[in-house]
Amino acid sequence: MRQCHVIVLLIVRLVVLCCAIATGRAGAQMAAVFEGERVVNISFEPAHQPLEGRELFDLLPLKRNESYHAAAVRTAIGRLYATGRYEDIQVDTSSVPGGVSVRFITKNTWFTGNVAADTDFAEPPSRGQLVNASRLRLGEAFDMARIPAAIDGIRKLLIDNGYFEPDIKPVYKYDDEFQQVQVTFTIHTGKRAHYSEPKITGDVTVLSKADIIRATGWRRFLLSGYNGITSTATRRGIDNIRLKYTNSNRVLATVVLNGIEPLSSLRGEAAITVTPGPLVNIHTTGARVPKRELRDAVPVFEEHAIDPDLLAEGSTNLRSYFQAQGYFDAQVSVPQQKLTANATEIEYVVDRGHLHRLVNLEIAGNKYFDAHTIRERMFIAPKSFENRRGRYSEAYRRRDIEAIKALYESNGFRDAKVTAKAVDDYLGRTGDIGAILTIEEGAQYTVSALEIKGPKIVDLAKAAVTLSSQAGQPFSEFNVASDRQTIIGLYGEQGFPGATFEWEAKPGPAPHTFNLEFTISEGVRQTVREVVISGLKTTMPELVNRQLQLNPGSPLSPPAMAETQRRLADLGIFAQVNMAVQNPEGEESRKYVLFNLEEASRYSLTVAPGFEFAKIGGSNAVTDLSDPGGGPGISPRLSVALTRINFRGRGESLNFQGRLSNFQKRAIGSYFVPKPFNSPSLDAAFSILYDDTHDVRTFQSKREEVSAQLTQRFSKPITVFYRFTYRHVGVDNLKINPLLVPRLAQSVRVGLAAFNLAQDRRDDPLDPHRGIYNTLDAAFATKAFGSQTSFIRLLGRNATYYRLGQKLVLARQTQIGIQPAFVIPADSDPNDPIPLPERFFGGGGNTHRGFPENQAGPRDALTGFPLGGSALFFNTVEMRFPLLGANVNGVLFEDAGNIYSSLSKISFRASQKSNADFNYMVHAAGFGIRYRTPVGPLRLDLAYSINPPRFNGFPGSYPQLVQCSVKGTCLSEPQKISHFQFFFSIGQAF
Amino acid sequence: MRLFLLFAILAVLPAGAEVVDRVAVAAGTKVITESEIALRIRLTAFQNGELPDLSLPSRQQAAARLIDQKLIEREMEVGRYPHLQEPLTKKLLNEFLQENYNSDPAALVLALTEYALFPEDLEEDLARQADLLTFLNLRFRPAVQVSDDAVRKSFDERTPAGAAADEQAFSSLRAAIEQRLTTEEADTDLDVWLQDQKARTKIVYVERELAPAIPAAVPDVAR
Repeated sequence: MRQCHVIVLLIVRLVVLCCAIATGRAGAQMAAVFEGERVVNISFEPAHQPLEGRELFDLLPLKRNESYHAAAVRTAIGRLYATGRYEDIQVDTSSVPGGVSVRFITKNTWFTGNVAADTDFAEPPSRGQLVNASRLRLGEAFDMARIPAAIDGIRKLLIDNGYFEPDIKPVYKYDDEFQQVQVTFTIHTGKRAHYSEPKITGDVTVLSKADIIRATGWRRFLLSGYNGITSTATRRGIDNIRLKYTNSNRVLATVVLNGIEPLSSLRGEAAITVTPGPLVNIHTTGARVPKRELRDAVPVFEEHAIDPDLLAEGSTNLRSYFQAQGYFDAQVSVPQQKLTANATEIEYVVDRGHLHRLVNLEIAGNKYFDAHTIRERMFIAPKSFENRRGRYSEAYRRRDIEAIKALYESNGFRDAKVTAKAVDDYLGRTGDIGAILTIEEGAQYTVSALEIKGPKIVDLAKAAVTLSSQAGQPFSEFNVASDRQTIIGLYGEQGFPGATFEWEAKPGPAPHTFNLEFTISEGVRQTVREVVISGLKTTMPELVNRQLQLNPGSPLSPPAMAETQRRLADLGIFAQVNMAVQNPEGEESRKYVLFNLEEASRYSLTVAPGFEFAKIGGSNAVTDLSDPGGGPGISPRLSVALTRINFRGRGESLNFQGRLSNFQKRAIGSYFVPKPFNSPSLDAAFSILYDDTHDVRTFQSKREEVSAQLTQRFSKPITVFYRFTYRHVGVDNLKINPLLVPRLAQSVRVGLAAFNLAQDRRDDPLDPHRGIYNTLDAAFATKAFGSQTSFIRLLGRNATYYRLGQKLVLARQTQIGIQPAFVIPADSDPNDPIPLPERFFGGGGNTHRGFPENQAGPRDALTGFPLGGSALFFNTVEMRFPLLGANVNGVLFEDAGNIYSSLSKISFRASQKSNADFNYMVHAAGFGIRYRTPVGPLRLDLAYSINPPRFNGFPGSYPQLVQCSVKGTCLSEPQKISHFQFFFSIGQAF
Repeated sequence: MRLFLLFAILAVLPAGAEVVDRVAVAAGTKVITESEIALRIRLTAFQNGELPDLSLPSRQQAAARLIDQKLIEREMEVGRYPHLQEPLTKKLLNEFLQENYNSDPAALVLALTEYALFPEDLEEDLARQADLLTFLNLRFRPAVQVSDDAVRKSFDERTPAGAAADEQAFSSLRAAIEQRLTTEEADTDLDVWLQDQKARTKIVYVERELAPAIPAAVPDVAR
């Protein structure tokens, strides 16, 4: 029986084979031969495959010990190819005892890995620009056919930057493990070519050739010859020529750079064609518009073209300009342009209408939202301090109606109606307008029930409680869209890039309710196969690995990838952090995540000359005692900073900073260790300092200091600093007779252990509008730390910021500090044992603006120079408000407080008892202006001190002081700190 | 007899391993294998009652049609278009059997065998054609607007020259003309869409002779 079965099988085989031979090709013949046979073995050639064993065999519909089908082989090839890991796949079969053996012969795909440029020339272009010009993208399939285009792209960039004869050679490094090709373009260029006199063609009657050449800015400044060619300079040069034509009322002028022809390897001749075009005179009638505003408003100037759309846009902009001035009914039209011989005249006809003020905005009918919430969304605004005429126009009215309607609709008020009307001559005053906004809310539609269908792997229980469309919540398309974003975002985080969301709403059981149904299709989960780092030269891999937020097997989460990228960038040692998923289109569930890092230059040098200008002046000459209160002064300043980053390849940095001015000589070397002991919340820093400063007029302090600091971040707002400092502080050029203050004037060694707690909940540290900022600084100096003097220093600061309405900020700060000595040396004054350089000094822009810098507190009874104190109290209140536009703010402030002799002497008394009494509270009020800049507001404060201290000064020189001190004949004369003080700096006072 | 069978077996069985299938063309991540091209040719020939033509031009034509098919399949997957599933695919096959082979499965199998085909191949092909129709109907047909003027123009063009316009005939044919014009318009839109997709998709002819034109020489990988 069995023999018979075999014979039948063979006959069938023979028939099919004959058919196949007649109708098909060899492959089909063999496929047909084995159809239905048992698969004895499945193998791969080469044996090492890019997909791992289980994943590979799971993909195949062809299984061992099952029947062979040609269709299954076809499907297997399709599935394997779809992974993106293979460039070619063949399948061969052979007859083996018991059935058929199937072998997959594969050729792997290569992917683009690290693309780098190895250069020997000066920037520009930068290495990053060169890599971008190659258009080879990290992680994409590598195609050798794209290399010529990549080289062409780089060559073009180099030629545009004056390197006319570049030699570009790609070097490939194949990484079999990750199927990557690392491409390094080795580029040699020689010297950069310079511009030569450009070849100008076209009409040069409006601007002469000389004018055009001058406009390019390509000539060297004060020297003969031309600058080096760069693409930026070329572009700027052409733009400048165009601007020059525009300034000559030739708005339609065309300036075309036909190319830069290399005259030699070091000279390039730009060929420029100019066409001035007709004279274009754009002006307004009916009202005057300043030239600058006209240029801003009419896009013809910007686009160098005249068409109806641009002219209409100009009308709209001009109307807005007049409306902002209070001409709410302004009409601007542009009739047909007038064409004369070689000239075009564009006339904007303005009918400003009457000058108005929007004095009142009334919102009626709103129950669900308060007026404040509605006003926040409106363009229409009544007159205010900033905007003295308010803001109103028909366009604004329509836009506001739509915005408020959308607000209601997004909260379930599907039938909401909003109308607005304006009342002219409001309350009988000509020109005044009152606007009334009437809202008919209608019924609020709510969700009666929410059903989420489809989640299988991801648990949506936690996310479900955060959805906007839960039962009982308002129903709106906006909320559903928001929920969709939440759910799809969650799936994205969990590695489901193909998750989809569909929804359906059906009327609910009660009126104005809907039953909602969300249907989610999760798709295939993608996980991280491995994180591949490339581009490291000197950086230790462990440093990079510590920043990774992805591990093999974890979901392929875009947020985690972005966080890793951010952390790597935050190390500050990489010029570029490129991130990509290898084989992005490939249908494989486990993906390589690539981070290609370009290490930044390790050394940076910054030299910054500048000036200091403040109440820091007055003579510092030792012999000059005439001005203990100081005066306005200016000093040149030179700052130098040399930084070596990524020291030892561990992200550590060495830093040297120097500052030289008339008031200060300072040098500091520091060594920064990020995240020591692999702790992400710690940073360590070690520094060595030399400082020679006159910041206190009484003496010149020389400080030599070493310190070590550990910074620990407990949470986002709370940071603790542990610091140990050992310093030697010397006192020089003392303006007080040292015989009178023998201990105070001595040089001291201080060993100080300090603990500083900072809590920062401000919304913006540079310019806070709300929040709180607290610091507590506790320091302890004792013999055990090598200190010659023993004291405790406690300094607390509490600052709070409140918004008052939309525009005002109330800011206040209180500082209190005490510095008691607990071991008093035998030869010290028991009431005043702490040496001068360690005492509290204060007054100035950041503490009390009623004093010049460091001029608060006790003074020498004879000379009047400040002596500092052992306690301080400062309280500052500021009202910050908008002044002009968005960038200029004003500040009204009141500063109170002083430096006191000791804690017990702190007093709120406002009057000074005598010229020797400094333990009272000085008050100052003033006005300041802040101009917003990216690095913080530029600050100018003018203060009036209500009760500045009076004191006795010595009307002679230092030798005279010494002489009279010996004889006991010194006479002093009354002096006082000026009522008026000013401060100029960057950043808010606190 | 035994000797004949032994001879036949020896002739049929391969001496060593033979390539049975391989990638011929890739459109994005979709792949077309050599056997798929041959299968398509045999299926088309079978349904047209012709002899299969496995010449290069015929294979190139089949490859081109398969590229279109892959692009449509990809779009259907992304757009979650409905696919014909069992038992409807079986129903299609039965209809084919009834119409062409008088509901005689053995006759169909025999006819398929002549083309080295199996009933499953035919069933799949019929389902594929139904899917294509679904795609056309859902994706392109709804957007087609046939104007009254176009219907009238088409009617007039097909009316014998000199014959007076017969309003009654026009009314009776109107729906059919509209249907035909809609189909033609949808087909045109599909062609335009396919051209656009081909321009956007990386199409690799692994078997280079199948490419419409010989691509530029590519430098070898320097390894």
